[in-house]
Amino acid sequence: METIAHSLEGLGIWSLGWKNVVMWIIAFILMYLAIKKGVEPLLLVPISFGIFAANFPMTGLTNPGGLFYIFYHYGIETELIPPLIFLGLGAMTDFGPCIANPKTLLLGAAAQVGVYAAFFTALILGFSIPEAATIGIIGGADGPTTIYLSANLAPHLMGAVSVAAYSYMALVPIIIPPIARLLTTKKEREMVMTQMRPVSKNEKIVFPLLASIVIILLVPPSAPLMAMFMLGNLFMESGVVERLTSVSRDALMNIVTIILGVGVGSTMSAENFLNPRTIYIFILGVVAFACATAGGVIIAKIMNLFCKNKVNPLIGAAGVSAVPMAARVVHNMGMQANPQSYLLMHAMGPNVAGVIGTAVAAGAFILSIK
Amino acid sequence: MEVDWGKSLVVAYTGIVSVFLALGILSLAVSISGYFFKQIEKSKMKKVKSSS
Repeated sequence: METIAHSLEGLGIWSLGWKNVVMWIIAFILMYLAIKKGVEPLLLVPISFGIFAANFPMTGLTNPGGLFYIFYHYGIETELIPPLIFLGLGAMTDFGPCIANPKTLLLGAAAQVGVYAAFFTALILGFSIPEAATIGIIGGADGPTTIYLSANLAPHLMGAVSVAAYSYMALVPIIIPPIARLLTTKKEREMVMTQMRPVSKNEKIVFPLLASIVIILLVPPSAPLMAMFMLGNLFMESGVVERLTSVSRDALMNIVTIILGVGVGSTMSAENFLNPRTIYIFILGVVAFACATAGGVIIAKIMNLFCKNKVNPLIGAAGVSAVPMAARVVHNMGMQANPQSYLLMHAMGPNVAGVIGTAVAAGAFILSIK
Repeated sequence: MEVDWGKSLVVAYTGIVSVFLALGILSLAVSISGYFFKQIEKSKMKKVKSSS
C-alpha cells in the first residue's frame, strides 16, 4: 500500500500549478495563431510546442542534460543556430535591387531608428542597458538577430523578445500602413519610380564579398551573422554549388528552425514569462516597429530633397526587415495610391538592407555593451 | 533601477553611427563597383561591335 502511495506521489499531476496551466494557454493561443491564422507558422508552431512541453512538471526537459536544455545550450547559447539560419537566408536573398539602387541601403539603416527609440523607452521603463538593447532589436523585425543578441546580452528575456519579434513581424500589414500614410502625402504615395537597371551576375557575386569586407571590418561582432549571410548568398549567386545552396535554404534551414523554435519555446517557463516586464516588452515591440517604419519613410523623404532620382517615400517603410512581407505591404499601398506604380522590387532594396542593418545594430550593441 | 544615461547615450551613439557608416560605405562601394562593371560591359560591347 505504501509503495502504491509512494508511486502515486511521483505522478506529475500533483506538481501541476496554475502557472503551468497559464503557460499552456499561452502556448495554445500561439498554436492557434500559427495554425489557423497563418502567423509565422514555421517558427510559432515549434516555439509554442516548446512552451507547452517545457511547462509539464517534473520532466527534466529543461534541466541540465535534458533534451530541450541540449537544444538551447548547444544550439542557441553557443550562438550556433542564428548564423546557420542566416546562411539559409543568404541563399534565398536576391541583393539585385540593392545593387541596382545602392541608396536603398541607407533606407535599411534608417529603419534601425526604431531599435534605438525602443532602447531608450526600455531604459525609461527600468530595464538595464543589455535588456534594453535586446528589447530594442525587436524593431529590426528580424527573429534570428533578436535571438542572437538576446543569447549574448539578456538570455532571460529570450522567450519574450523572440515571441514579440515573430508576432509583430506577422503584424507588419497592420502596423506599417497607418504610419506610412500619416507621414506621406497622396502625391508622394502616387509617385512612380523609374525601372531599375539590370544587374549582372558578376556584380551579384562581388556584392557578398564587398558587404563582408565593409561591415565586418567596421563592426566585427556582427561577423557570425554577416559572414554566414554572405556565404549563403555567394553559394546562390556563384551558381556552381547548387547542392550547397539547396541544402542551406531547405534541409539545413528546416532542421535548425525546429531546434531554434523548440529551444526558444523551452526558455518560456512560467517564472520567466509571467511577470509585468513581459507586457512591457510587447508594448515596446510596437514602439520599435512604429519608429522603424517612421524612420525609413522620413529618411526617404529627406533623401528626395538631395537626390536627382527620387524614390517613393513608401519604400522607406520596407526598411523594417520582415522579408518579404514589408515590401509586399509597401507595394500594395503604392498600388492603392496609383495602379501604375509597381513598387515591389524597389521596396525589396530597403527590405534586404534592413536585414543587414539589424545585424550591424546587433553587432554594435555587443561591441559597446559586452 | 538607476540608469547610467552616459553609457546608454554612448551605446546608442555608437550603434547609430555604426549602422549608417557601414551601410553608407557599402552603398558607396556598390555604386563604385557598379560603375566599373558598367564600363567593362561598355568596352566589351565596343569590342564586339568593332569586330563585327
